[in-house]
Amino acid sequence: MEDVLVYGLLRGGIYALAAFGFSLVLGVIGIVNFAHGALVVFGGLLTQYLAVKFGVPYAAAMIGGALGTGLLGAVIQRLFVARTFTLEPLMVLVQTFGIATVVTELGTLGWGSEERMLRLKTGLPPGFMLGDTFVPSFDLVVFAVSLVSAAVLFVVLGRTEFGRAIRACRDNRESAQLSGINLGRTFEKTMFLSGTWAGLAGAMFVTLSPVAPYMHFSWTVDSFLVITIGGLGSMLGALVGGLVFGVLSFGASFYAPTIAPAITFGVLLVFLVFRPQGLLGAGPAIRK
Amino acid sequence: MNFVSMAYAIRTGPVRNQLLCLAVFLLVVALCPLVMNDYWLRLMVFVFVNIGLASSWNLIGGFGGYASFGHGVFFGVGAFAGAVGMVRFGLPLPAVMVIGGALSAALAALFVPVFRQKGLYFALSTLAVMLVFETVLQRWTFTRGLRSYDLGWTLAPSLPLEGFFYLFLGLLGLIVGSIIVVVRSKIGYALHAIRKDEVLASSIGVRTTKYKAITFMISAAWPGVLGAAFAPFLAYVSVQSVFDVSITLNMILITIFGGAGTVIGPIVGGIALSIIDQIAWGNFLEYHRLIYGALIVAITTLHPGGLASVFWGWVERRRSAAKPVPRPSAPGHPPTSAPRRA
Repeated sequence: MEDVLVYGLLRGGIYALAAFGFSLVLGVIGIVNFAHGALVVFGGLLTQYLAVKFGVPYAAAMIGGALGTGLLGAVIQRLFVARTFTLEPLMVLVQTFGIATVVTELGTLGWGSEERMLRLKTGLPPGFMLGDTFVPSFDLVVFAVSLVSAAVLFVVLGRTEFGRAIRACRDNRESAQLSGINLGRTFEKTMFLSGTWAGLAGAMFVTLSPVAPYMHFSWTVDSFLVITIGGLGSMLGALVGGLVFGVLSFGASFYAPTIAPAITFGVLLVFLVFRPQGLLGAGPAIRK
Repeated sequence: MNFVSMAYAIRTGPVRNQLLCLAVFLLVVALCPLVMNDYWLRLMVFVFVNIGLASSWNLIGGFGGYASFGHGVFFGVGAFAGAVGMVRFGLPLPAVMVIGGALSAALAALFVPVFRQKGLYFALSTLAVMLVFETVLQRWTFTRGLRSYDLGWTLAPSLPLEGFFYLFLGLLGLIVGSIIVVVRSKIGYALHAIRKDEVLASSIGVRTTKYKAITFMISAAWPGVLGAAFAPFLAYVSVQSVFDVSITLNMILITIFGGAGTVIGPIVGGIALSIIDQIAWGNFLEYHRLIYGALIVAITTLHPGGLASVFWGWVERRRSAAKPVPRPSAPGHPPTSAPRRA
């Protein structure tokens, strides 16, 4: 029981990171970004590529991978989503799915389709005992880094001019524009932020588990689940949702590995029917 | 009467003319076995199934504006109903087709509580239901296989290839015909209102939940029927083959490519994508998925209304060139381009 809780929480930090960007884009631009999982995977593989091919130290590779992914997100926004986000939500779903396919296929052509992982020699002690549970110290470090980066995102959104512009666009587009905020630029910055944190999630995940291009869709679905559990339009909700989802998915695959997906999605259905605004949701944020 | 005004007359004219057009189209296609070998006949069956599935999806996703991301579950449930019914209980093909359709419609009826939520939640919950069913059907010994160690169902093909060709062609005709009728019925008008502005529609007395539920049940029943009929054609039914995510995605892609919210869209999209698919498979196997993805991005970015809107845009231009003062269009016909979000 403690094992499930500890390991679930440790993984949950990364799920939360991946979900932040998804939630942000959904709240601000009002689209469901099906390419989000592709961004997570891209960030992971880019980090691995930088670290292995060029021998960049991991911390630098992680930042490089995250910023590269953010750039990719901004490019996607400028070239593609900017033309379609005012249409029906369905169009953007299909469009971003197409983008995810293209990014994944190009990644496969460039990097190959095999699963890759980045093993780090940190010199840390292997871990310590917490009660009866062995806590690997590297996972704990990753968890701490994910919490710190979540805090950075909170500060960026809550305390800076840039974050205020983003929140203004989320709350009321017309008023934001009347106050002199450039909607297109703000959306590109939002996508950059979303991509950066998705890339960060991938960069950290690749040190714990293998990552391969084909996994992009399950990352999208997982991010979706996290914000449904946590609540739409709330960054704190995404964090809580990520931790809950980590425990839930780890617990499901620990106690009932054969039907783990059915349990995870069963819980999701219960949420959708009885508490669609999620644990900490601010109520329905979108009209359709 | 030239081609442009004929196309326009069919589109805005009575349902009878549209059904007549469909019948002519089906009759022409029905001659295919005379000139085609087995490879092309099999391919045509896949095209029919894809168009039929996309047309069903189009009813709730295109006309209703509620994207179902787990529509493959209805096809899968139908296929399993066909396999279990025919192998375990020895039922004839028509019986399992009815059972498959009924099971799928009943499953769709369970979504009524979700219909009170926004479209996004609907998309998510359909996806979730599909993944739940995928897991359950794979684990449950009743549906997993005939013997305890089986992981699928082996079916004897109950019809010759030509038989399947005409069976699926007939089903396609029924599906498209039913959609033509539904779209021009009270349900169709209600869907149009819901898609444009759901809050406004319900405020003037459209019972949105009721119409969404009816539409979703129709849209789920047809994939169930197709799935049950597809089971003996496929000869081996397992979760891997009939619950593949690509089945759902194909429905969506075909619809969007051809034009969501139009009757002709999935037909045009299905044919166009099949041709592209064949060329891509034949010549650039490595880049097959890349080409597919790039096409989707291109069509949604440049022409969100799909091929149908490209065509109707051309027709409108020709018409306005011929007649300086355009007539107001007839009420109730489907929109040519993707409507703006309210």
